[in-house]
Amino acid sequence: MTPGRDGIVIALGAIPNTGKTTLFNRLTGSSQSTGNWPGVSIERKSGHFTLGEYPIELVDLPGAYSLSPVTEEERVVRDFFLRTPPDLVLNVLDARNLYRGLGLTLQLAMSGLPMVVAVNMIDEARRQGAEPDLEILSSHLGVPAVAVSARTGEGIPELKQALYRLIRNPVQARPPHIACPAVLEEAVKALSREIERTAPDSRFQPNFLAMRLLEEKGASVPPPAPALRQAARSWGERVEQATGQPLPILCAGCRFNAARGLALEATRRSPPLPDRLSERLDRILLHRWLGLPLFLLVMLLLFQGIYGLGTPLQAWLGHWFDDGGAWLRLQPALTALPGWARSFLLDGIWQGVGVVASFFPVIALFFVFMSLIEDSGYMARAAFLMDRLMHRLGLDGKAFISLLLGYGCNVPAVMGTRILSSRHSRVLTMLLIPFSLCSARLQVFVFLSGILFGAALAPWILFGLYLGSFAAILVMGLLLRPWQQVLGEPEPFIMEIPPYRLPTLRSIALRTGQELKDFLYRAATLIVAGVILVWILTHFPTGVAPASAESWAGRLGQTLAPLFHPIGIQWQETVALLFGFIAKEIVIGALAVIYGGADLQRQIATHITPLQGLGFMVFTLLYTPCIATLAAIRAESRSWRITGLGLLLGLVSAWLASLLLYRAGLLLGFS
Amino acid sequence: MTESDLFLPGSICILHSLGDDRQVARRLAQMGILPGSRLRIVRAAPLGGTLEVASDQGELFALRREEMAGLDCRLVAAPLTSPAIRPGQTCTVLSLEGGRAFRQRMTEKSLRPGSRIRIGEPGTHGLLVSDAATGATIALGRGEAARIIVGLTPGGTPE
Ligand SMILES: Nc1nc2c(ncn2[C@@H]2O[C@H](COP(=O)(O)OP(=O)(O)OP(=O)(O)O)[C@@H](O)[C@H]2O)c(=O)[nH]1
Repeated sequence: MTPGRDGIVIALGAIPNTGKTTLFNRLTGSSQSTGNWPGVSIERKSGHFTLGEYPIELVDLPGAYSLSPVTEEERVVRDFFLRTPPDLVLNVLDARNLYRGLGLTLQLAMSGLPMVVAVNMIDEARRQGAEPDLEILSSHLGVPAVAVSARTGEGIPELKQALYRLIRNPVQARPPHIACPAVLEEAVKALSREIERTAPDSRFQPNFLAMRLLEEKGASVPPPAPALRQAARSWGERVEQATGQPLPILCAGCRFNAARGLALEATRRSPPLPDRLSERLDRILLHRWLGLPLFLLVMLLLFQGIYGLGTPLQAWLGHWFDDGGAWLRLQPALTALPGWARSFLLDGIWQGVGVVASFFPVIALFFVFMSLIEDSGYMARAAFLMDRLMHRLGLDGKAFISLLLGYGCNVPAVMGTRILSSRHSRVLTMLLIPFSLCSARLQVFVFLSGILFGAALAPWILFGLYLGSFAAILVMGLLLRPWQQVLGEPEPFIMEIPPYRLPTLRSIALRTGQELKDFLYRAATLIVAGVILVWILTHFPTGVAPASAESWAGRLGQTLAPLFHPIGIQWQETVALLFGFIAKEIVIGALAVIYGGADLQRQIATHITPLQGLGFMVFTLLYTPCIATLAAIRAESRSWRITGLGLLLGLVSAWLASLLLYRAGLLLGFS
Repeated sequence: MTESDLFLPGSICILHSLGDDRQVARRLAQMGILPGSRLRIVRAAPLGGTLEVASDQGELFALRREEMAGLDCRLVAAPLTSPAIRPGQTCTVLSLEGGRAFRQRMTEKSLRPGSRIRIGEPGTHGLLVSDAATGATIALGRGEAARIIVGLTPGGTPE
């Protein structure tokens, strides 16, 4: 083989839960880069390593059960394979349950692309006394098979050897033959003759392409010639009529019949043993009465672990940046600058960087704990427990965890939507997360309700705001249900429940590091840009007092007054809300700057009535995700449309809710 | 009784067809869950609505009740509390789904895998069955009955 521009391209393809990610990390170490697949929001991960003299690019494909797609992830995998066939395929099987994965393995092997099969989790299989016979596997599949443990590193040198040998000496693969009903075989034969005639130099086996055409009713990629598509359709109808089964199911049936036989022969035992430990744990963790309380306990620990540790660290970093800013302000190099330039550097750029940095602790802790939950296998259980509740909103159970964690901080929660299984759930969840009452908003509410309502009433106001936040999520979820086209198609909920496992430090560290890097690359620019925008609005035209009535922000506030007057918000608070776009907790500090004077508490008490204050708080709860959350939504959805929708939903619902509250309050005689 | 009431924890069914060519059917087919597969309902989620299902090939997955009801999966075993089991029928105990204490208690009532029993009328607190050989009456609590799995003919009625 001769390497292309990026070296030899090896595609890593497997069904979910085979340890694919662990193997990817094992082979590439930390030399990974992430991007996205063209046109979709699915992450594309690739990494580099060398095999002897060959530079290798390893492309991690999303988990897929087959090349006939049901989900968006699977569509990505199919398109990649058929449009840009890799030089080599590395397929992963779970040694404890060959049958599950062999359907895909057989399909890949039939393609005729050079391929190596890594039989992973050999350590666990050995512990269960069910080590498969790799010679049988390899001779039936017609490709080399190597036993590995991605977790311990066992077998990795041998795997690299096998890959190297295949690159050095690309022997023509001997595609396996699987038995199918006679009419199907006849159809495959007829179509492959046609394919051979029209495209004789394809890298794929003609009968693999013929089967694909049949399975997808002619709608395969790249689009076949019209004559071929027509032939595929009419053959397809004939086969379906003769067998009485839909073709996709018929074809899957042929593959899995072969898979069952092969798995039985290779392991000399069927079916695989259930995992005793998992059974025992599930009896407690999924118990009819104990399951939910235990789940809530785990969530409490998770929340405390992330935010109990993270929020103080975040505050500490914030102080550090404030102190650093104050120190910088006194430096001769800066005092020599004109006032606006100094302010731009300190109140614009330095503050922007400070906002980005302040998210590091929570994001790091978030992903440490999320990896723990996910790698241990508990995530699937949590989704199972909460599925009923979330199903009402058109979501699956995992979304509950994302939404819950939004109550600490929206930013990592939005990043964490990556755990969800379909684009539909991901987008819907990231649009709902901004309505949760995060800790930054809480600071504002504690402060304002204390001043406006007194110590006795304030806790009830806070409680009411939490209820309002739950209600907002529910209402939004129901409102967004009909918007399926924008959000992507809902996918069938069939979730595999993996065995419990001990998470490894290595994979947690790798994941957390990767997420921090991603946040820095994808979100930081947008956050700093947002902070600078607010700085420009509040500090220009030159010469005015920052955020005063004469500044652009002040003028904007006054221009918007007709819009905010009906909901009882004055222009000064509008400017404060503008600041809140940077980070919600800044609202208080902004009010202090805008009102001027020393005693902020008295100022607020005289400027704002309790009813107006309540309207203001409701508005603050809903109005817009902060800039960091928007940046995270943009980074995760890769769509300005979704990001804009997030902004719009917030503004409109905030205005409506405040209007309703304020007007109802006035009618009832409050002020 | 709706179709989905049939899928009580402990029930076993054999898949006859995946139903219409829906996405769920395709997804299951690609996971290797195909006509002929034996599915066992492991448990229902505490809030209901979602089932944990084990296939005979050792896969464990979660599925919503309405999806399960859309499959043509014919019961071959069910707990004694299943609506598929009617008074007057005779069937064989297949398994006792419980810890050692429960199995011990059932043995004392002379119930063990292989026992043939005749179903009596449901009482207010549980179920009366009788030993098909001796005719001796055995009183079972509802909780106990839910954990005794008996065989059914492929049609869904006791043998
Ligand atoms: N014992 C053992 N565990 C492994 C091995 N490889 C992976 N695991 C564990 O299997 C679990 C799943 O591994 P992942 O690498 O996330 O699997 P995946 O196939 O990428 O799964 P998805 O991300 O869901 O597609 C993790 O808890 C790993 O620690 C192995 O060789 N032996």
